Amino acid sequence: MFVEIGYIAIGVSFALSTYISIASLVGGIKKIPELIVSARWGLYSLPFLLLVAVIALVNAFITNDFSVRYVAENSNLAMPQQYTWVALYAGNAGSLLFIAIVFSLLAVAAILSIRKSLPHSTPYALALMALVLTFFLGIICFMANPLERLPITPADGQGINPLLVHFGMFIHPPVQMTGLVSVTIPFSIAIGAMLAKRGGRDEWVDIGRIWGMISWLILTMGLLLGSWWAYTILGWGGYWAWDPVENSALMPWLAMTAFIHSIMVQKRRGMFRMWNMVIIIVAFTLSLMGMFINRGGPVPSVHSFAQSTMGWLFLMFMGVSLFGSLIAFLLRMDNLISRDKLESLLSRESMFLFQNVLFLIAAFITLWGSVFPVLAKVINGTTVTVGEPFYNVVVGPILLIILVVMGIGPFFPWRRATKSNIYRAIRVPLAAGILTAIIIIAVGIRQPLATLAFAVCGVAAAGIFNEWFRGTRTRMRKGEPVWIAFTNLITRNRPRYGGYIVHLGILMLAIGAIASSFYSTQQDITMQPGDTYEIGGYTLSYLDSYQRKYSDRDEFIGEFKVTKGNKDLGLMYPKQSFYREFRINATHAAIKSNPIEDFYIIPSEFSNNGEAIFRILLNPLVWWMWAAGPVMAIGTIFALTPQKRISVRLISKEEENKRNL
Amino acid sequence: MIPAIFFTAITVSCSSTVDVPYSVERANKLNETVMCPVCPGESIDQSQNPLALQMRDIIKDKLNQGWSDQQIKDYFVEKYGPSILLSPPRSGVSLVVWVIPPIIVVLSLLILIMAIKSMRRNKVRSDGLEQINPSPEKISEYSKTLEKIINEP
Amino acid sequence: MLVLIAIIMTVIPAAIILYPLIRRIGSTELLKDESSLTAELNRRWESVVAGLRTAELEMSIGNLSEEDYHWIKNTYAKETAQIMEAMELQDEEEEELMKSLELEIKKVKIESVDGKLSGDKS
Repeated sequence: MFVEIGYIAIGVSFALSTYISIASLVGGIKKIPELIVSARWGLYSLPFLLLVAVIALVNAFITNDFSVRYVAENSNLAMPQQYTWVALYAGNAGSLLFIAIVFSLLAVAAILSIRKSLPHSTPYALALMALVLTFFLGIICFMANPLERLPITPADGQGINPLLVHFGMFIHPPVQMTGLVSVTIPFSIAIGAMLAKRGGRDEWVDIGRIWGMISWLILTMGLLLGSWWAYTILGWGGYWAWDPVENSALMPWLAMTAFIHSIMVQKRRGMFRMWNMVIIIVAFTLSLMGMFINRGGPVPSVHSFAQSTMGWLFLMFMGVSLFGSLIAFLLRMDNLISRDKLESLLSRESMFLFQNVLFLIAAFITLWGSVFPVLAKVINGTTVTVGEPFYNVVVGPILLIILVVMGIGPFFPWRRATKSNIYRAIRVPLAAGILTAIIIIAVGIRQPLATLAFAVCGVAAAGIFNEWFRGTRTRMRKGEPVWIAFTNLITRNRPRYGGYIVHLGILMLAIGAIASSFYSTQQDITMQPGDTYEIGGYTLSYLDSYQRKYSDRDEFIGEFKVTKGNKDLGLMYPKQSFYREFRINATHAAIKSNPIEDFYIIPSEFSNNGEAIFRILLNPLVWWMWAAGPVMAIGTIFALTPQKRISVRLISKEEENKRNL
Repeated sequence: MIPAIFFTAITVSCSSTVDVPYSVERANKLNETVMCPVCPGESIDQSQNPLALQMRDIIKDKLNQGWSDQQIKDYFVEKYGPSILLSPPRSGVSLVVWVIPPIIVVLSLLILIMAIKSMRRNKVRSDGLEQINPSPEKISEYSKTLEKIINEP
Repeated sequence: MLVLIAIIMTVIPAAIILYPLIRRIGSTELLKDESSLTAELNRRWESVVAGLRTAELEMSIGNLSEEDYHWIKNTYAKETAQIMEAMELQDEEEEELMKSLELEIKKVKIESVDGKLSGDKS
């Protein structure tokens, strides 16, 4: 019965969200406040309805109600209860329901945050959010209802995909999906403000920036968690393979990164008004593209667990929304002319512009590489694979240039600067970069690309620390002790220093990525139980291997004792599980991680006599990549915390009296 | 200075690990460019599928027999078709995939130049503020008050 | 039972969206205008303050040369004065307007209090 209640809840919420989009749009255009309030209240009640549906689904999972198709397809009697949460979004229908409820919550938060400050834009923004929600709910209702019953109730379900049975899966997919769908919020606010005829200039910028950064942060976390999952479970020793699904999450991230930078220019200078609109439209389109590729796009990938034809609906929706927002943009273009002109090429504004273009180039090339195989297949009938080597060659250099810009861009002053000024500001970081390169070469390392990459990181790191150092020193001259000086420096300029903290996180990420892709050691070895092997200062003894049979899988486990020098690192258990029903071999690498390097054992093949092939990997500095996540989160939140505003009223008291009527 | 030392330390610590035999390194490099035919989106280097293991062995054998990298790649292409290579060949239809990125770069830079040019031009949407001409005394008065507020601790 | 729950689940949202329409809630909804000159001037003011703050900071750190610093300060000083004058002008106009609107606003305020009593979140 619960299932039926949930079913009805989904239907009602579809109808409700359709009503919201229409009422809100009409209310906005005709300026009917009652209709706007009605639409808004409707939105507030949506999450409750969807919650009913989610509870119904969870209940079906917990009670093993295999008469529900989705439950039968994504769980079985053997599935541990805690994986209900994972099973909830393991398949298509469930993940859509998950997206819908998360998005409805985000939309409520967004509307609450803008309705006071942007009363005239809110109805349009609300209409757009409701439209997106209607799209999701429509698919759920008519194509992929997770609460649909089967004609015949099977005795047991098919079970959950074993690759999803991992700790990382508890958080990565929901975060990633939330990230993709959250791009809709800044998009709706921007386009909503643009549609409200009067506005569309800078009204939306403050709140749009905040939501842009929130969305950016969620996307970042989704990407990092995904890489971490791939690193620990897919068991090849890497974390990023330029796989189409990975790309589909990366592209909106790239566009959003461009957006949260260029929005600053509009906030500060009333410039880039059209540019920001275009970027947020691009970001939104790419996020829909991401969902399309994720939800059964035509590209093969290790990440596509839920394939279906509904991907094409996403593609259509993407086309329609892109077309619609571009039309709206063209109609409102006159309204979006900048307040000011670009005063100089040597300015923060033009650095931001340059950075934006670099990010968009990276995004579009990634897009091109991801869709080319499909195009080639459709047009020419040939199958082509576009993989890692392509992206390394084509996108790699752009990412490197982006790092340089990250290093020196913040030292370009706003508005304009003289050449000597720029030189003064960036000479220290540049010198540090050159010094890094010289020392690295002098030590006798001949990896030109790696040297260059580290030199670039040197530039960026030196830039950030140099500014922190000098800023603190200036404050110390006024008599503040060092820690107070530093705290004052960064808490007084939160967007700036929050940004620097995020940049530091990016740098940690870059260092980890560069080090592990240039200096990773990999060796495949065949071992008998009792064998000992030495590699890179580590001694590993293959003690034993054993098999374990479970109801759903066979496990082959190797037992290793690992020492480095005299230090005992303990036992490691790399294992391979064969899931009989799915015919899937899941590899569980054993990893000993520390800030300097990861010692990584992957089991490749076990024979019955205990002989086995293992792959040993020494991945330097990967630890830093995962540590970068919290750093970036802290930086973003720090940049978002509200700062004391200097009210215009402070400056003229008599005006205050007038205003306090 | 500090970053320089830091990064050098990193590089040194990274590169001083192990001397992997050249042949192994070459095999690994090759493995990364060949896709595993049965596992979606994984190279034979990444995949632990039995077929991938077999293919890795084939590459090792062929290298021992003195085959060149290109010969080995051609061998796999002949066997499985061109989509076995993760890096699309720079000929035929696949050439397009390599040609477009530089075009994207050039086009984007052109757009950048155009954007900068149009932003440099004087076409702005004024909000009428610049028509107000405050007296110099007022300017200095306001800016003093403002400065005081901004520099307040 | 199922029918009952279905009806409840349909009726409650319907009641929620119909309520503002019937009771005519929302008269305060579109009163403020984010695109008004006052709002625009406030935004300009904030961006000038932010710009000046950044300039001060960058000067103290040493990223800004003396020459650029003075130029930027003068530019912002002039802009500040313009904004302040515009605000004063605006206030005078508003005062006029306010007087004529005072009655209206009082009425609206009473209505919104009314709305709050009957559960309006706005």
